[in-house]
Amino acid sequence: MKTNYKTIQALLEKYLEGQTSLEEERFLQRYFRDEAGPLDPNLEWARDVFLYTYGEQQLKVSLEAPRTNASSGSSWMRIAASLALLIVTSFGVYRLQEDYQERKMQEAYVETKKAFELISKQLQHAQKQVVYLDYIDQTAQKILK
Amino acid sequence: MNHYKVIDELQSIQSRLYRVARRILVSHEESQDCVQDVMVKILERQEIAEQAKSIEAYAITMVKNQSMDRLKSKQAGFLRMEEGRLEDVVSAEDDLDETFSSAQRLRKVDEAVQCLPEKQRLVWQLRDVEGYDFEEIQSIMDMNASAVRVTLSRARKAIRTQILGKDENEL
Repeated sequence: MKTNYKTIQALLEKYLEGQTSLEEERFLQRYFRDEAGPLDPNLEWARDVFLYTYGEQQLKVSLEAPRTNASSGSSWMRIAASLALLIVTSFGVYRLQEDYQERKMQEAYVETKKAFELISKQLQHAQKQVVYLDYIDQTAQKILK
Repeated sequence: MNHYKVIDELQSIQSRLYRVARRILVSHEESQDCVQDVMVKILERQEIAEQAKSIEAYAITMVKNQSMDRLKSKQAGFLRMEEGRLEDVVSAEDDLDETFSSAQRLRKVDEAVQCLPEKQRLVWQLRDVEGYDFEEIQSIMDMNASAVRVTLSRARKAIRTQILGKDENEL
């Protein structure tokens, strides 16, 4: 598309006054990018400006993903959480085991106590029987005498 | 909007944020640092960013403020003016497959832009490079509509004068 000099000149006047729209500015930029041949010397400054802005627009950077407290924190938090879980779990398992052992010991104690009680009951009973024996014995002696 | 969406959005505009910071700070490292810093701050205060009309405008405004602050506190800009920018222009020229003289021309534009007062430079960058509409520029720069147009007009005219002036000196 051949745009005539006057149109461009008029747009540039508008541009200098800060009155051009974004579309008009994009149009100017495209015009100067496409315009390969010799240019009216009055327009050269504008070509330089629009080629410069085009070059600047291509300037790209790729920064590392920001190391925020939030994002690195989340990985830290993940590590901390796993550690905490590990500690809690192992403590829990340890406690369970301890409990279990304690309970077993208690059971054993209770059982032993029962057994002792039984034995002592039996012994008492046996003692009573022995008393009877004595009694029988005495009675028997009496009769024999 | 969740955390990852905000990260995505920030990554998609990171070049833009970087270019705006670079326009003020000139040094690549410092601009990069500034943008990283802003991204971290936005992610830390995500709720505030979400209340803003757009994350992009919010981020650009923060980059603008922070790069101005950095410049003021360090006055780093003056010394570092020389380093960074020129190679970029030349490499941009390589991409475009231009002649040597066109590299010089682009360099001249670059110098003209860097000579502008900060406010003009920023407004010019936001409009002529980043292509923001006037309303966006008003809110980013905290200026009214006519002030934006006047500032932009001054910047564009100053750039033209500078280019033409230098041309005449060389001929």
